[in-house]
This record gives sequence, structure tokens and C-alpha cells, in this order.
Amino acid sequence: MSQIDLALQQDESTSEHAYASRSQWKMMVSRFKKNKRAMVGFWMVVFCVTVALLAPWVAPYDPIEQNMQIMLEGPSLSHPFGTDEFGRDILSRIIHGTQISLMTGIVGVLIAVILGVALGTISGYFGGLADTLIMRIMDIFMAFPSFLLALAIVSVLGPGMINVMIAIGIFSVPTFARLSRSSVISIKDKEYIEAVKAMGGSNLHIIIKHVIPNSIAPIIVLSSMRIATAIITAAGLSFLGMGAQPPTPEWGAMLSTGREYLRVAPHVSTMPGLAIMFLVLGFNMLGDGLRDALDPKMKL
Amino acid sequence: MKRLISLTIASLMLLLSACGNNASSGEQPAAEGPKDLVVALGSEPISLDPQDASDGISLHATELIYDKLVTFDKDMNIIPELAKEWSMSEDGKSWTFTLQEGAKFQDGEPVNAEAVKASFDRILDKNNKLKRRSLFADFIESVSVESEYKVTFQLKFQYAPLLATLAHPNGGIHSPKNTAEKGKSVGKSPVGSGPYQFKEWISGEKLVLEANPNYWGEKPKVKSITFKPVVENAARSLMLETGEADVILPIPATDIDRLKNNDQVKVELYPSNRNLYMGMNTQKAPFDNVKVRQALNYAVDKETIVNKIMMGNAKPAEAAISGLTWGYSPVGTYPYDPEKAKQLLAEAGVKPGTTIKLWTPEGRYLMDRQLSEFVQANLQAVGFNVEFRKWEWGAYQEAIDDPNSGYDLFLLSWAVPTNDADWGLRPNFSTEGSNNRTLFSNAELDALIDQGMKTTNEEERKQIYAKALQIIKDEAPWIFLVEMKQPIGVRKNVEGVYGSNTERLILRDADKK
Repeated sequence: MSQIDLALQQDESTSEHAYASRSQWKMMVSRFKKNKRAMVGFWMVVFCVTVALLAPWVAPYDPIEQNMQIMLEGPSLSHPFGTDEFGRDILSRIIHGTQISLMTGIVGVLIAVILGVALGTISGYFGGLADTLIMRIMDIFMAFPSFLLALAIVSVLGPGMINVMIAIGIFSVPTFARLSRSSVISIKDKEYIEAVKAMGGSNLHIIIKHVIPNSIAPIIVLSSMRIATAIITAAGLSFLGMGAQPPTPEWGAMLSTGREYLRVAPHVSTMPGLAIMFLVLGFNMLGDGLRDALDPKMKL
Repeated sequence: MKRLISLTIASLMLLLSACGNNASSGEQPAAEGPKDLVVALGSEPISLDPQDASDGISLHATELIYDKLVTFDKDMNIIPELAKEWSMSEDGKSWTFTLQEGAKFQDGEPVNAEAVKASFDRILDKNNKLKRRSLFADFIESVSVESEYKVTFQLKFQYAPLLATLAHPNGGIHSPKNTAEKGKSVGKSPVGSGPYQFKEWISGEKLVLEANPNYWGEKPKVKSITFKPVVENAARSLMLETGEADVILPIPATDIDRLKNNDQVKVELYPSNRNLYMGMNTQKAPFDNVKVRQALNYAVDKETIVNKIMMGNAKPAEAAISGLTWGYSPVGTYPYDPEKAKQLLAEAGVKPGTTIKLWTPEGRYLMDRQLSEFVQANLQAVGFNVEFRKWEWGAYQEAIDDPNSGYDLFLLSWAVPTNDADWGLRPNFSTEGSNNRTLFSNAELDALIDQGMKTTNEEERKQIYAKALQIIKDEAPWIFLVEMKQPIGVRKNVEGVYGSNTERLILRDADKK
């Protein structure tokens, strides 16, 4: 929980408002800690992040170097997850793949949060023509199944992980825009916003200092869940050959190439499949827990 | 929580998707009489116009729809097809073919000298821009009608492999009525005089040919032949095992042993004159430097490709054409020597970390993607940074047809349907060659290829090609990889299917019990 405690300390200031938010945080943290499933999810994510950060040191072998003498060997002491069709250590590839999956998930969602919150806030705060225009465009995006949209975007941009991140970012924008618009609308007529307006605060000042900070909670929850979706989508795109290109140890791509050996060496695609499941499960449980902790009444 | 469950299930499904693929039950209807023969191939035909098809998959199908003047038998002898006999003038430049009488196209038009002339005039006409024009146009002067069933080919010079070239699937005779009506789109609605006629083609799913009831020769034995593109190696094997497919090509190397032990299935490894290579864009730095091209050849471990990736179902290529092709001489393979490669690269001034692009199809050739990934690792080991991209076969063909698409290295292969060195070298290595995607140009080689085409003395021709093959080896516009074998899997109840040396899947006599 150290990250949240740290956030708590940084949050300390003299204003009344900050005091109130501090006690909110405390309540939230204690609610979160009581939720067993959320804590399991939290530690699963922490575990993956640690593995990703330490990948070069914890991976027993080079994830790319081929050794055809030991191709398609099953799990053993020297290669706990076995080796793939080029004799590469699958454990090492999964460890390095953690970096890629986390990175695509987080960067993809970050793009979506930045664009989505910006559009949603403008839309909700100013209303009128801007609102109509932005939200109708978002509706158009939402009309497409998200995976299909991501696939179409990557087909246009060309295969590669950066383009996958962009695609994931773009297809997640409408969700964030809608959510942030609705929470902006719910607070923009509150007394404290009126008070700042009466004191002569500019729109920009109000949005950045008051509107966004007070509407961000549901965005955080949605982000942690969208990261899970993003990871699955990225793996899916790589599975179809539109994402990471060889020899990048991307989980979806590993799953895909392993299929050909499913009959002779099932571990080649099973292991990355389990890795995807582990990380996605972690983020989903974390997201559920965050939702319950931030606002038990909130439904996403 | 609902989301959680559904996402977990989704990830599991991702994991299990391979199992689900095409694994439907193997029940066969117990109907009597002629049946449908299902053929699963790694990709689908591109065009059913034999004059405009340059890929082997398309030709498997056109061979059934069209007849040629002559054809190869199982032992690569030339035998009559539409032409029952032929004779040559004294100077060897004029050949007269006498046609079978009574043969009809599938649209009812008669097969006569007019039709043969119209078909060849179509491919010889520059304005039609047909892909295989140079196969015939480089040596045929004109085609003329002698009588209803006699047609004469006037050649520009005496051309030794004339009959072999007419036996090339690209020599299939079109119905003149159909080509006149459909123009370029005959590739989607072909009419020939072969034993099977076009029924329907749903792109990406299946191509159905049905028996031609009015076939002039021996009647076809099955009711219809369905070609299905199945990119997944594992899925193709599974289809054969369950009986969903009667014939599959290629069998993934990893499955050959297992399928051999299946008593429902016959696995046959046919020799094939297909050589697999990695072409280089020789107009582009650093591949415009011969030292770099040789370095790439030294950098690739052919033995390991043969033993580990192809699992013994191939052998290292010892020349630009296969040992089965007439005119072959073994000029030797580049040994695997990464140190030498690094040294050559240093001499050529190629800095370590230079980024190059490597493109590959997936599912078209036996273990193609794996082979390309292995070559990638070999090239990374001598200091290149290799960007990898795998393509769907149709898109891939388009991309490598256009030098501006940006390729550096591309995996491709060449089988020689005429089984003669002329068509092994002319399209690939002469400056104007129709398949010269390496954009290689060498005046001395051009002269030799031209000379080989115009010489008739067998000994002389062999020597010319030996010289040419040596130059090609030294100039190395390809990374010479392996000579392929053609693994074909057939259900035990299917007879009469085989692979020819020219790598055609021969289905004309196929029968299903």
C-alpha cells in the first residue's frame, strides 16, 4: 500500500478541502484493504510490475537468442517453462514479455485518458454545440466493436507495437470521454464551482484546479479495468500478426506461433496464455476493488 | 465481476482457439457413386487465367480446367494432350501441331486451330499485359492456322525447350469466346477444355470445380474438386486426420512423422524442382555491393535449416536451380561462416546495427515463417538489425511486385514448370526478367541466358548454363537456401493423386472410393 500512503502524504496541505480529501483517502484505503479479492489483484499486478522492471536480471536466458539443439523441449529444471520452436527459453520470453504487455496496456490507456478526459471535460463543461459535436463523434466510434476498430486502425497504420498502442488509445477514447463528461456535468453546478466563478476564476483555472480533480475518481477505476482490456486486445492483435513482429517476445504472438506445435509441444502456447490470464485477472480484480473502495455506490 | 469472468473466459478462448479450429467431426456421408474431393492448400489461387497466373497454387487449379497442346507424364516425358502429333521444319523454326478432333471447350465451342491461335495471340499481345507473356513471346514469332486441325508456330530462332514450354501450365488453351467476352476477368470465370470446369469461387473460403461431363478424353472420376485455403499448418493436418480434407499440401514438417503412423492417411514426399531463396533488392544499398550479398550467404546456416526446421525434408541448394531441372550443374553452396560474413561486411563498410527489412509469407511454403525467423536470427548475429514482417500471400505478391514498396529481403521460391534451365534462369536473373524482383542486372549473364535460349546442342547448352549458374552464385542476388521436397498427404481411400517434379499437384486422375 506504500504508493497510496505516499500519495496521502503528498496530498497534505493547509486548505480545508485537502483535509476533507485526506480523510476520504483514508476511508478508501481501509475499505480497499478489507477487500481480499482486491488485495490479491493488487499483489498480482505488483508482482508483474516488479518482474517487468527487473526483467533483464531475473530472466535466466536471453529471450531472443536461438539454440536449435534444444528446440521444443518440455519443461525441465534448466528450462522451467520449456523451450520454443527455436530453442528459446519460454520463461525468459514471458518475463521480457511482461514489459511489453504492461507497457502497451498502460501507454494505450494513458493516451485514451488524456484524450478522453480532455474531450469529455470540454463537452460537459461548455455544453452546447461543442458537446453535441464531440459526443456524436464519440457515438460513431462506439458504434464499432472495439476489437474490430483496433484492427482497422492497425491495418491502416501498419503492424507494430507503437501502432497497437495508438489503436488501443483511440478505441478507448469514447468510453473515457463519456464517463468524464457525465461526472463533469454532475459537479459543474455545485456551489464551490459557482463560488470560484463568482471570485472571477477563469474557465481554464476552474477546469484544471477544480473540475478535473473532483471528477477523476471514476476515471481511475475505469483506467485499471481498461488496462486489462488493452492487454487482451494487444495480445489479440499480435496473435493475428498485426502487433509485435518476431523476434519480440510478445505474449499474443507467442501464443499464435505456438499453435502450430500444439500437438507436439503444447507448452509453447499454454505458458504465454497463462501469463496473459494472470495479468488480466490481476488488473480486473484490482479495478473491481478500487471501484468498491472509491465509492461503494458507483456502478461501472 | 461479470466483466472479470467474461474476460477470463475470453483469455481462455484465446488460448484454446487453435484447438477449436476446424476440428469438426470426421463423419463422411456414406453415399455411393462419385464424390467431392476436398483439397486443403496453404493459400488460395490468385487467378484462374493460366496466362496471367505466376504462382503455383493457381496452377494446381488451372491444370484441371485447361488442356495444353502437350503435357508431362509422371516421369517427365512429353506426351500429347490436345495435339496428337507434331512435326518440325528442317531449320527447326517452324513447328506444326495436329489437334485432336472432336474436343470441345466447356462452353461448347470446338477446340480447333483457330482457338489455339486465338489463345496464343492473346498472350503474345503486349497490350494484354499478361504476367506470363515473356514465357512465349521471347521465342514465338507468330501462330498461324493451316487447316481446321493444324496449327503452325513460327519461332524467332530454334528453341530447344519448345515442347517443355508448351507443356507449362501457362500454355493452357482458352476458349476464344470466353476471352473475347470477359477480357481480363477470365481469371475469375475461366473456360478451358479440361476435365473439370469452374463452378464457384468464394474468396478466402473455397474454389469449386465440377466434372466436365463432355470431356473429350478419359472421363473424370469424381463429381467435383473443392480447393480450400487453410493457412494454419496445424489445421491442415487436422483436416486430413478427421477426413474433412482428402488431400493436403504442404504438410508441416513437425506433423510428417505423426501422419505417417496414421493408418487412415498416406504421406508421400515427392521430389520437387522448387528452390527456396531469400531475394535481395540489389538496387538498394547495401545490397548493391556484391560483398554484402555474399556475406549474407555466409551468414545463414543452411544445414540447421534442413535438419531442424525442415526436419530433413529438404537439402541445401547447390545452385540457383534444382538438381531435377535440365541444365543443372552443382556450383556449390556457401558454407556457414559468420566470421567470414562479418569480415566481408566490414570490408563493404556496413556498420553493425544497420536496419534492414525482411518480408515473408506465412503458410505458402513448408515452414516458411519459421525459416524466415531463423534467417533473421542469423543476420542479427552478424550485426544487422532485421525488421520482420509476415504477409498474407496475395498481399505479399503485390508488395514484392512493386520495388517501391520498400523491401530489402524477401522469402520466395521458384519451381521450373518447363523443367528446363531456360525458364529457371531467364525470368529470375535476366535484366528484363518477368520475375526479377531482385532487380539484378549483369550484362555477361544476360548474354549467357540469351545464348542458352538460342542454342540447341545439348552439350553446349549445358556448358552455357554451368557458366551462368557460377556467375549467379558469385554475384549472389539471392541467399540460396534449400531444395524443397513436396510433402502431400492423402486419405487412404483416395487414389491417383501425385506431385510432379515441377511441383504440380496432379489431380486429373484422382478417384475417391
